[in-house]
Amino acid sequence: MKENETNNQAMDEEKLEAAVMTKKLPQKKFYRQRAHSNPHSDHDIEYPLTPDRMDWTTLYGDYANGRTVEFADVGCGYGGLLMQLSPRFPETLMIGLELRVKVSDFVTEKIEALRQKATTSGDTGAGFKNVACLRSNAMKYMPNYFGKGQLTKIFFLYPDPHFKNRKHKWRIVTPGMLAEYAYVLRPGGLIYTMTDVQDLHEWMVAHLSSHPLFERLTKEEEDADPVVPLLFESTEEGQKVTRNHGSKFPAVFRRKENPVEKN
Amino acid sequence: MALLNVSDSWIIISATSKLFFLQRKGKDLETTSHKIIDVTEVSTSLPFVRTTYELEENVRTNQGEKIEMCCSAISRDGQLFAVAISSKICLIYSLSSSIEMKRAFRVPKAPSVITFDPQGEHLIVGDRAGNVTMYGVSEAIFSDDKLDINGEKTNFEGIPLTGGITMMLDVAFDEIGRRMITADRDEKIRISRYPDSFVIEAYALGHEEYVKTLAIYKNYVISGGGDCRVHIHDFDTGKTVAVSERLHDKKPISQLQVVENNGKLNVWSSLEDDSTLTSIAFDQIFQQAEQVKFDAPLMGFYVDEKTRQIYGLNTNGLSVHSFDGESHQLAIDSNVLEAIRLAKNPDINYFKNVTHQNVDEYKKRKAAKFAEVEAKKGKRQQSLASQN
Ligand SMILES: C[S@@+](CC[C@H](N)C(=O)[O-])C[C@H]1O[C@@H](n2cnc3c(N)ncnc32)[C@H](O)[C@@H]1O
Repeated sequence: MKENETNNQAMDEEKLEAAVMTKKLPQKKFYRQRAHSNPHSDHDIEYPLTPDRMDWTTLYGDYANGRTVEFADVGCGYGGLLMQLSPRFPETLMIGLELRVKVSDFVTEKIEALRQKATTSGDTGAGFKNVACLRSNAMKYMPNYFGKGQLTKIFFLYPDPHFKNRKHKWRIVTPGMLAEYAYVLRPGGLIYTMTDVQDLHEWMVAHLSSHPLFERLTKEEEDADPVVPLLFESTEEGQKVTRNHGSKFPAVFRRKENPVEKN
Repeated sequence: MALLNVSDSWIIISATSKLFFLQRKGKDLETTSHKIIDVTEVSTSLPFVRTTYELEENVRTNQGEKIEMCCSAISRDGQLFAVAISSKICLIYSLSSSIEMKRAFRVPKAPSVITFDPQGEHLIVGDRAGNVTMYGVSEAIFSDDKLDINGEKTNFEGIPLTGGITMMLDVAFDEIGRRMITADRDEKIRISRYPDSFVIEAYALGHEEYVKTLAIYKNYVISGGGDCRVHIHDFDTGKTVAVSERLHDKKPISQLQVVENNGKLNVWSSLEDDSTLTSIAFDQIFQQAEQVKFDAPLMGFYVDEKTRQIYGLNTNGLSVHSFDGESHQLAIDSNVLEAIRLAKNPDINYFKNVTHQNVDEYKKRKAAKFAEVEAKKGKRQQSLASQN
């Protein structure tokens, strides 16, 4: 993402009007926002004090009853991956976590529009009732939303690379953060990473591989996973990389069982 | 900050750049004289650690910098004392008949909490950047890959244990040192394995504000902080067992100590900028609170179960209250008093500092925009209607 995209508040009124009237898909250009928000500063983020206190029906309606969220797309951006996953896993609740206010609002509006469209067209599947987006900081509040071993898949697609050394602590995959992700991920659950930045790819692979609670999937296992093809093109960042003829470096890791404690 | 630590044989007061070691004897002090150590010399002479990117650190010195105490601890066996100072240095002393400095080393971030592990082999330091690191008590230890918790190459000693995007406010251990419990500014308590802290066993959540102080008793984690209530959590699951009434309508809990009284859990707590110490017994539920009044706001306190005494440190000095109500001021030297009064508290606000109400502002802008569009549309329809 470009560093200095302006905080574009000048909305294209004609288009917005149309969206208001017909609940059509919202247009990204109304929702562009500065590319970076510092995950280390205090934001006015609302989060539950404990996972038990989270009312998921505000996001999924009745569809949340009897179901728990199992997939988390961290830094979901404009939400392309979730829209692809939704019909493929109709019984699974999935959540996008996005730090930028406007971007997460865009995803929420888009999901709302897709749900309405699904209702009118007589969609018999989940009708996008299994997807939602939360404006939150995934580097701080995962344990507030999810209990121990609740998630089965976590996605990190095209995360911000934070090239400068000083900003490495902003990177979303670090040895310290991996302990938290491992806590909310069930043994056997998977972490998917994808980036066009080779340095970042090597960084993520190095830290995930050396972490005692993760192991990389073999090439064969990776090829057999039906989700892997979605990592390439389903998000807007992925499409941008394709347009720019960039490279793509996917990797998948399995959450191992906790080691047996010695007495 | 003025700090108080008490062992069976020592009372240690740390303030400004000075450490005062007072020998205890029964209910009183052995003598009014004591050993004084000024840490300025160590602070200015200890070589800097070359960092890979923070260039300004390489040329900085601690010369002339005013030193303040950050945090301190005594080992379980009472044989070791450690203190972290504002020039980001940790010092370890052995407390036998004479007091000797064992080690001094630099740490990369401002320390906010320091404690010995129950084994007494390591010093655990939590910092303002949200990291917890393990240091050797007798010699420097390093991780194999020399990476810090953010995955960065580091030249500093120590083995990283945990890291988060918050400020570490307290670290505690269970009796046998298999679990490490950490408290942070984001209302969280984390229960990790020790030393294999990459396995988080549970989170103990429910605090409405930051968590400043922790204590462990049998199968309970007890905590206090910004929401002015004592919380009790199950040690294995982190689930809330009980939450006390507010101890005060605004003043946060600053320090907790648990004491066993007739086989029952007794929680002692002090409040920020307050001269009252509260004790609440807990047996399935919280019992009626009892209070002990000191003559000025407490900087630190210590409850000794064995001698049934409560020590309180404040700007008037050090006073002792016995469990049966008797109290007196200990005779301490005037230079100790002077240091206590000169000591500066760190200028940190643990409460969240949210300046940008991003969401509210955004919602307002969006609503206004949409209203405008609707209005225009209404007008256009009107004019269309009038044309027809
Ligand atoms: C480069 S974008 C990629 C977006 C999307 N995954 C895609 O592939 O198009 C990275 C996104 O992560 C978000 N982000 C960064 N740090 C975050 C955090 N700590 N919590 C939640 N989202 C975060 C950013 O706001 C940004 O939208």
